[in-house]
Amino acid sequence: MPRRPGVRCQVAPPTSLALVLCILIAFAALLSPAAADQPAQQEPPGESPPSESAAEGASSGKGATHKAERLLRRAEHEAEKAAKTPDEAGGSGSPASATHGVGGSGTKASRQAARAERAAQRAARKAAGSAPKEDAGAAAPAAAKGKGGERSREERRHAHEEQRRKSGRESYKEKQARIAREAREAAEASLGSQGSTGKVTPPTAVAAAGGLAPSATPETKTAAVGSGARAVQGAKTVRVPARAKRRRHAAGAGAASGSAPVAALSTAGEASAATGAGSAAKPRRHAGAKRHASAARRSSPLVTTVTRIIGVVPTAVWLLMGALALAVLAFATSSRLAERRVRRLDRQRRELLEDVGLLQAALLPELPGRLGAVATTAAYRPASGPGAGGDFYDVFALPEGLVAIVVGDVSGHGRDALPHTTLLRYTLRAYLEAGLDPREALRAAAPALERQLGGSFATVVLATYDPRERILTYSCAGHPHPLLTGLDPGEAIIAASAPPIGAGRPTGTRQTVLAVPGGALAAFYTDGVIEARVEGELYGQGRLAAELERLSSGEASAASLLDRVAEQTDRRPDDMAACVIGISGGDEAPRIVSEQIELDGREAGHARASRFLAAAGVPQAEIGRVLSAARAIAADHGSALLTIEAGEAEGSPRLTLTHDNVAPLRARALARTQEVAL
Amino acid sequence: MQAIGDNHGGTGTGDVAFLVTRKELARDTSLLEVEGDLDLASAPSLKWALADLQSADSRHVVVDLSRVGFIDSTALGVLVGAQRALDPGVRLAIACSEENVLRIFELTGLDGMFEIVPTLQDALGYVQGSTTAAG
Repeated sequence: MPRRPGVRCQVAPPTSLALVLCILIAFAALLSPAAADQPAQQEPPGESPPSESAAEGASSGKGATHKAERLLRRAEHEAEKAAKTPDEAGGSGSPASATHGVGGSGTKASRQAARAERAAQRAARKAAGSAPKEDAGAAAPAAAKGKGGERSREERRHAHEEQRRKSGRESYKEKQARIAREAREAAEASLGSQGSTGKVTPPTAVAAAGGLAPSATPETKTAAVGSGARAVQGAKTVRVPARAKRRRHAAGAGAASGSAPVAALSTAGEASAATGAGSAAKPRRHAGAKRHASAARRSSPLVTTVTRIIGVVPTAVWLLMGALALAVLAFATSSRLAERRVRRLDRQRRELLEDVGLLQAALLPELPGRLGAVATTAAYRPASGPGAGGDFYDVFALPEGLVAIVVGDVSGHGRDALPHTTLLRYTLRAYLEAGLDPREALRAAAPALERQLGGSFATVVLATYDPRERILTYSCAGHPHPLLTGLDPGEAIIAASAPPIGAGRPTGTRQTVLAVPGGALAAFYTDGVIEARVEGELYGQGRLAAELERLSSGEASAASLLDRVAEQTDRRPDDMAACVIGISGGDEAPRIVSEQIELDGREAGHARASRFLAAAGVPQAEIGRVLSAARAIAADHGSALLTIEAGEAEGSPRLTLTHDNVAPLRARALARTQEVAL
Repeated sequence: MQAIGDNHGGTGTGDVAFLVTRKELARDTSLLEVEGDLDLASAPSLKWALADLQSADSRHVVVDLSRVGFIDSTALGVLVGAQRALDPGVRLAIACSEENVLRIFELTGLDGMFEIVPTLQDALGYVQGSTTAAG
């Protein structure tokens, strides 16, 4: 039993290890959605710069630049108007309207164009260098001037354009527009496939692609289609210098020429070039952010791998892992609590049993080992369960060298039985010390004890041994008869045994007197000894008697007797107590001298009495007569005491019927005391 | 005889399964059929079965111990308690023909306290007043 907590402690570390593991898994499960989200959250800032950069581009120009821009835009607008005029006159096939058609096909494209324009203006301003104001100022009047003057030229160009279209060839701008469209579609397609992973914000990507498209060459297009947004970005970054040059050129042309057609052309061209420039400016920054992100990602391959793995694990598996982790956590917690509780209960139980054992041991006196010529030993083995407690014994010296023995068993166990045990032991001892015979002591003490037992009952055997007379006298109350070596246990008459104390019936009604002429061992024991089990079978009185015989040749102690019983039995549900009295002497075997029975009117009429008389060797013919005489005495005096003395020789026993009961016993006890005093 | 199958619990005693079954033996008599060993472990089941019977109404009780192989002091205490708690006019009889059990009753001196008869018919006869204590 003390090893149990140790075993639990050994079990505990794996449990705590599992607990820690589970907590880790739970943490991983908790963190993983965040980890999976992170790329998606990081991506937008990287992809969104188009709008951001456009806004930056717009705001980066300070006061003067703004003015120049405004002027330039007005010039462009006017140039556009000028260009439109012939369109209106000459039908729908004008290049300007065609360009516009492409530009206005989608709001995205138009927004892109506006942004591109702005970026182009900035670029132009930068290219113009020191005097943007003058440039703008020059450009504006030129545009205003060229409003009507350049119409013929525009018409010419228009005619040329129409001619080319008729011949089946597409103009440069149409080609550009087509390429842009295709590139956008391709980019959209590739982004659409990327978008399924949820890592890229499609509008931004589309815008970027759309921005790139007008100036994208077929190779770029292929690249965009092939590797998606990143490849597109790469292409953008590569192209930037060339486009910047073109931008400068366009702006420079717009600024330097000072003529309306040029302005118109530049406006038309800017729709593509500036768009390209705007998009180029955007992605540059964008690509920078991207590079940062990719660099950060590249820096830790482990993180990348883990992130990828986490991304691959399905949500259901995450949920399952989470549930499992929670279950494990719950189990670990409950097992730990249960473990603690069990340990606590175990400790309490041990303490309680120790207490009971201590109290029990305190109640069980240490025997002197030898009382005169009699060796006295006693032993007690509590049951290893709820049966513990209730057995008691006592061996003490009486006047005239007599030895008194008390062995008993109180019903009930544990702490309830303990007070009763004490009560019985001391009460019975007092009655014996008062000089009463065992039967008389029981008979006198039982009514008083029954009142105090409160429903419990007790079996007990009281005995006295007179070493001078070599006489052993015992009386049982619902208790097994003692065993003596050399005496057949079957000789004891069990018919009409006295009931236990507290059963509601008069007890102390039986007494047996034995002569022990030679050496012998007398064993007094509780029912726990003979009710121990050997493979489910009762140990029994027979086995115990045999063991006592074996013991007589060796160490004759109660402890060794109980040890032998414990060795032979596999289950001992009740306490075991035993007292062994060693009487030294010759080989002569003990024998029953007399049997006594007290009969009240009811008992005298009961079959028990008849069986007792028959067992005592009273002839059947005598039984009826004896019993009717006993009834007659009981009617007058309450009860009749029948003593059956075995004759020296074989033959019918000598019967004595008296009206002996507790009242005359008192007188006799008194007389004996007087005798001693003399 | 009407079996109501009121099982008062089967307590394993380690060796033999223990069972107390309550039946109605007659209009005013209940029967407790006990099966298995009556010891420290199974005695409480018998105690509660008897307590239920006695608290329910004033009926005669027959305890059938014919299929009991062993009875210890705790179980005897339960029977003693039941006997002493009987209402006036209510009788308790034990039907038993098992030698081991009869011997235990005799050894403890409790055979004089109970009406122990060999058959259920005898027990019913006793509790219903047609026979007197004959043993």
